[in-house]
Amino acid sequence: MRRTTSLIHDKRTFLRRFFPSIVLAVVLASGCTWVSYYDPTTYKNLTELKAEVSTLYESFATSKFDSEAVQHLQLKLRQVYEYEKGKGEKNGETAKQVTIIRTMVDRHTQDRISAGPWSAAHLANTKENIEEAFDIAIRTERLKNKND
Amino acid sequence: MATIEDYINGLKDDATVLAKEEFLDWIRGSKDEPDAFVRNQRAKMERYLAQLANGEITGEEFKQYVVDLRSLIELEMLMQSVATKAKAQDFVAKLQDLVLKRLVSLL
Repeated sequence: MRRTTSLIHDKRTFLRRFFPSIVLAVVLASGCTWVSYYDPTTYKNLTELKAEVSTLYESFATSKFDSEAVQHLQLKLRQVYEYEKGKGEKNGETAKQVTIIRTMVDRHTQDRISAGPWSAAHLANTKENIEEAFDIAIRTERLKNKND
Repeated sequence: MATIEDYINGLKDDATVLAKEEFLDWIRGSKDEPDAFVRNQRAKMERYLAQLANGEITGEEFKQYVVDLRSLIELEMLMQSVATKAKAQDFVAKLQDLVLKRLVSLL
């Protein structure tokens, strides 16, 4: 009986002494870079840009090419990229996602410049893909933990 | 209205018969794909081929969609990475808060 009590006491002492270290070791051993917290500004930027890009793409089906609108959008995309990159390594995935979206928009714009107005089918397909790209980036932001 | 099979089989170069067969098998199997994202991309590919066969889109446009799908897959992979890290981060936060701070103090 006395031995059992002593063992329980020892276990408690052990846990009290070493449990914090064990947890800390697990945390450090995980060795991964955490992700940044959910950022409402990123969410707002991406949802607004999605609508702007979609509207611009609709204009690509017409004969008038609005180079000013394209430049304005490219600037906004660049600003969003700089904002995401500025959050550091923890936000690497989102910064990469914005890079991919920028590349897609540049490629689509170049296609409009070189091939002329888009057909209805080409507009529908390309718009669907760019909107899906934004949707994935928006969903990614929503997956992040809230810092509250 | 041309079918995808007619279009693919009508392509020149007999040396690629095996590749054509593999491609058609892959497209036909899209309905059984368990992952919703992959299923959706394969369904799109099937639609692009039908549009190409019917002359609704050009070969250049089709090539662009293939590049688009690759970009979408990269985006999806980055999202999966964030999902995994966010879950682990949440677990460790709870471990530190609930276990380290509260439970240990009771021991």
